[in-house]
Amino acid sequence: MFEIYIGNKNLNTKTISRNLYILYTLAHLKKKAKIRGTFLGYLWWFIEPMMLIGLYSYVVGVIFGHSGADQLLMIAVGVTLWKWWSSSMSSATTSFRRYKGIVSQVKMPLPILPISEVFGESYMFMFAYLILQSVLLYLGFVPDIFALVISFLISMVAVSALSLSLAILNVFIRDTAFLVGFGLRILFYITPIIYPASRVPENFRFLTDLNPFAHLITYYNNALIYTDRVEYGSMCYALIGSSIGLFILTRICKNITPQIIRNV
Amino acid sequence: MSHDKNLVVELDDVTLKYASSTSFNLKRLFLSKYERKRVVSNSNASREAALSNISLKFYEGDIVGIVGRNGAGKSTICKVLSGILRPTSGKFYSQLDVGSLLSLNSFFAKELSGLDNIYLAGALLGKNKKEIEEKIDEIIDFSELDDSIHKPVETYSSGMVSRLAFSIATTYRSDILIIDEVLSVGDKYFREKCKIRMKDIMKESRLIIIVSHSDSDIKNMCNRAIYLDKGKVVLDGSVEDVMNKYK
Repeated sequence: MFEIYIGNKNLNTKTISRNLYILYTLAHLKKKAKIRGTFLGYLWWFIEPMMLIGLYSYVVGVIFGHSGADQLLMIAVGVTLWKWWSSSMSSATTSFRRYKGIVSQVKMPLPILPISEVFGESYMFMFAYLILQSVLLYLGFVPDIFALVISFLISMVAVSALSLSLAILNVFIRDTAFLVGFGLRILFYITPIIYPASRVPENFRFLTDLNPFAHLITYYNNALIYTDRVEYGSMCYALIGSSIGLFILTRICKNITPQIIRNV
Repeated sequence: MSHDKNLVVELDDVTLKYASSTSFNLKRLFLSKYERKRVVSNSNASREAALSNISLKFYEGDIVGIVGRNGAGKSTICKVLSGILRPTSGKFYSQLDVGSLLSLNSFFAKELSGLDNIYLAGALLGKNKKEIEEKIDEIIDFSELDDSIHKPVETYSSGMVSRLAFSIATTYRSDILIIDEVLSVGDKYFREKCKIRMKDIMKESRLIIIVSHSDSDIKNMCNRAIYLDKGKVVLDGSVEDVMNKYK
């Protein structure tokens, strides 16, 4: 049986503050690394979502002819959110391998690495969100702040949990990184982002019902645009469910840490 | 050996087995029986145990040199001592703050600049922002990286990486310092500088572990040596005895 004794009694508080600082440092440095060497620097955080919103608005509004202020606003909200979630998950998937040196040589809780990718991407999302929110306020849409905060918490926890599971899978099955790129593309189209959920035929409604991102998008749309449709009960269940998921995955990661160190 | 001093770390009958030989691997499902055996042996997963029944005591002020052939378990024992890997069985006792241990190999995030990596390494060693920033100039000066400190680490030569790693680990001091093969990199001038710095920190660190293939490094710096082979301790004793046996 394995036993361990550690002399320092203050280790817990010290360890927690150290781990939080590692999380902050990794997330903060990630955003710096991302724009290093670019001419436009931080402006990319603004340009990238704007270009995507423009592109999808053209396809949906002009080519498919489903124009309407509401529709375009929902595309703007959905595309900005999707950019945040998909970038987080794709960079988190390879995080254990990219930080191989840290994984195999530094004693720290491994979930910090994929979760720091989610936090790093959140910086960039915040910038795009502030612009989007200004436009919404200008158009007269006042957000439900409480619903918005809960939606933000749910997405942070849920995306962190998914990112952690993908990062663990990628250590043992290297094909995961390839599948994630493809899977995210499929998820984008089956999530009601560039079309309203009401357009999904009854036979295929299960695709949106089972898709956590479809629910998340609805929470944000309700918090930002349709504030009378906010359902706090459903949001609280989602927050509790995703927190339990993250907790279980963190425990799994802790239990298989030696295998991750060995296989990374 | 300094048995009259305080015991700081103890390994009692420690065995470490790697679980990867039994872990799930998608690729193996598609391989023939012959190929499966080949993949398992190539991936080093066929080794029974990386460390078997190791019992060692480390005392305050020990500067321990670990020698042995490739695959003897030198790096694995360092990972157990620093708390990264938990033994499969046996007892591991440590009075040191195992949270702030760091070996010197390239733990750097390659896409970040040298300066960003100083912040990151400082955070990993349990330092706060103020403590990190107080020492930044000292680290850059010692590593002699000058303006290259702002370039990504992926553009560095191996000598530059180990200079930076050595500067960081010896500036942000912790209770235990584990130096795994880093002294063999860098030019002659820098190696001399490292040795002078090592003499300084030897006075302050509670425990130093040096893994090296260089006889002279072990002889010049250590006051105790351990010879490992195939995951077992062959000899634990004075530097002279161990180095004679290792030859």
